[in-house]
Amino acid sequence: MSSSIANETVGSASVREGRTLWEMLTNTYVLYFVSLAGFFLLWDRVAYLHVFGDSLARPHVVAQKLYMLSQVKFAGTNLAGHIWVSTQRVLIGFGLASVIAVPLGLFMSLNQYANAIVKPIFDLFKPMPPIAWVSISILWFGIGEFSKVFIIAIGTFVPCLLNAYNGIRLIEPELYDVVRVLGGSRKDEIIQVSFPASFPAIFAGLQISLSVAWTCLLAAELMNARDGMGFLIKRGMDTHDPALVLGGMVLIAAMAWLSSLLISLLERKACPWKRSIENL
Amino acid sequence: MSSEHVKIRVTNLTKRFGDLTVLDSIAFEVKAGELVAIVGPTGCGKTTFLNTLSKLMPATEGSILIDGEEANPRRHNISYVFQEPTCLPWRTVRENVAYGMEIKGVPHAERMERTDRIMEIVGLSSCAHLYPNQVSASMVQRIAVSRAFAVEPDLLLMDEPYGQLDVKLRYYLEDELVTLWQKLQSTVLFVTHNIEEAVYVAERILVLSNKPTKVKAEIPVDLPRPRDFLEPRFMEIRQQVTELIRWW
Amino acid sequence: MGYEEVRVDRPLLLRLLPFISVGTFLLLWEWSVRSGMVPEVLLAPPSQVFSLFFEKLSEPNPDGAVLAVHAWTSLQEAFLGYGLSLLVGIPLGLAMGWFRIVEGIARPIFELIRPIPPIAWIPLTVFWFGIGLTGKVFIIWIAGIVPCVINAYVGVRMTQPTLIQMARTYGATDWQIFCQLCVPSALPMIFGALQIALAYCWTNLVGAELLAADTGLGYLITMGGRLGRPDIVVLGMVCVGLSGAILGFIIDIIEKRLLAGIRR
Repeated sequence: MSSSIANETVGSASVREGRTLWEMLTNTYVLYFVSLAGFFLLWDRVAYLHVFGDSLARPHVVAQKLYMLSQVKFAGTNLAGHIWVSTQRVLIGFGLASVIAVPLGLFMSLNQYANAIVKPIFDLFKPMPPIAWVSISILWFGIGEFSKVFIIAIGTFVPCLLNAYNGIRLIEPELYDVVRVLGGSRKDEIIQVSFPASFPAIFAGLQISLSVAWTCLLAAELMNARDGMGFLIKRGMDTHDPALVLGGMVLIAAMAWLSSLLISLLERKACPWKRSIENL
Repeated sequence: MSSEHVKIRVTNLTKRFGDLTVLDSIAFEVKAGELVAIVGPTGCGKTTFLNTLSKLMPATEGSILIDGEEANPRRHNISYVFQEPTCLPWRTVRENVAYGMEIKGVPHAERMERTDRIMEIVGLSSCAHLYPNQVSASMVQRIAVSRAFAVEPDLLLMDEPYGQLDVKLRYYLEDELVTLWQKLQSTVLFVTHNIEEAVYVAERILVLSNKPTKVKAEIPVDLPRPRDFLEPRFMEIRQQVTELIRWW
Repeated sequence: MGYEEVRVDRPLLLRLLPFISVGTFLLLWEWSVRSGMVPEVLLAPPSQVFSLFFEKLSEPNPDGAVLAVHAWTSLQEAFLGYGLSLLVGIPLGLAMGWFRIVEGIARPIFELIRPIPPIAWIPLTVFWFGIGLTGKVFIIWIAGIVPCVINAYVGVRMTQPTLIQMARTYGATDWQIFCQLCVPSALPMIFGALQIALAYCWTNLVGAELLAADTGLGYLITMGGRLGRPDIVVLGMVCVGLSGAILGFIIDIIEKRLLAGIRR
């Protein structure tokens, strides 16, 4: 009880409801608005004044570019097509990796023999940045669809496995005692304790994987692609079209943000007991 | 021991959260150097009461006067011993005891002298250079109490400081509290849910009612010290307070 | 990586399995190429990569520089970017955690930039700074700053509320509370960020070099790919992985030292 009051006082001390002019000006939402408006204005000014030569497009030019792309076909498909192609690659690579990595990670943490066999090989590959695989995957699979999916799968595999593995290893042993005291078997322990207790860690792993997946996708598409959002950025780079580059960046950021939102929603459904600590 | 000078005067203290009235025009006075215990039924808003008194929370109405002036943490010496341990883990025991004085801007030489004196009284000298996570739970609470006394507060608020300790340690620390208070002549408001504890340490007991909280009764405890739990007069007062809390 | 458990009499088989497993893996790899199961244009056997490593120490061809030059270029970029991201990210995160105005101003922009994969900045940095050091340092900086800001912010936010109340009752100012309570209690989180930020920086360094570079380990990988030399590609990957692991190890030691310094 006292801790909730403590939070209350801290809250009331830091978020005072303001009536004076200064307090109204420093209201959080006012600040957010000022900040965003300032950001776009600054961007616009910098572009308008040619601080970076002709290598920065003004915000409304970027918006126009995106609108135009959504209307006409560009390199064989319109904007929605490019977005969908990229999303598909991410979904397949991410799906493939998580379907293999999460169960493998869980299995490794539950069976020490599996752990002894897989962990050392995994540790060999772990420090290698996923983007380093781009070249070899092109060597192996050419520039087709599979080489991109492969990089994404490789990149997402590591965090998925690592988090599932640690998720179980870091469970407090007292939780197992609860089941053991009630006469539960090893199977009960695993189903009743290990799996649910590792959920939050698994979801954290999925979150990380997803952001890695978009980075890998981008790397793959920048290296070689005929469609997708990375292709738009690369084309913008090759034809020196900053509006196209920025448009691509906006799109990929939006997709990355949306997909991570989706995972958060899923997580909230899957583990409603998890208190959400205020974080960024 | 206590002079007739009124140190703290609380009038019409009211606190509302929206429609919920938690404190309802509370009024009382505390003389300089007096140790007053505050008891009340569970959930009667004791902590809110202290938070309002210490100005952590703004009061909705009413005033808290210290020496006739509106209380202000920057101007007055107000100390607060929380229920939870509040030691800074990255400071040694000694630095923790000195922390309150540091914020108050007590000069270095005086700060060191007062720190040493207090640590001597409560027996912390031997672990002065340890870190809080190296000492026991009761030690941690003693550090907080020492820090609070060290600033020589105009008003010292204690929120069930010994609530989470075992009985034996509590007896010991209660004696220590009384010693500290007698030696330093501080004005103390001691909130507790333990009636025996209240009768043991306090000169006067304020009994609070259930929400909305009011001061329901004032019971002077005019027993000589050291007090004895089994003495008839002690048991009588304890009985009296218990009845008051039960029949709210 | 810091979670070794206490090993008490593990069976011999369990202790040997890791070595058997890695040995088998390397042998299989070697054998699959030597026997012609996997064509040599696709994969180089470990022995060849190993000998190429020594060869590349003194031989600048075919990619234009000896290994040490590639490694030095990459390290330079990584350290500049990493250092800058710590220098900017940690104070920013700390300030965002405690000062409402800083959070109000910085957070929306941070949230806007955060979901953009750092390597998406490559074209713009090439436009702006060319393919030299500056552009890559910029990309690495963008990559490293995100975990620094987040961890410092969360660290400040996780300061025990009662500690703040305690300081307030003694009349501490906001600035005193920030310096004396929030910053020390955020330190463990900040040290955590050192490791994460390094991993981000290293990954994105490779990305930046794949596309816009003329030396560096990432460039070595790209060139190997372009020349159809799997041995160079694998060598580059191994070097990147190895140096990343070594850096991580060093940061880990520093982190432990620093942490031991604050909390016994």
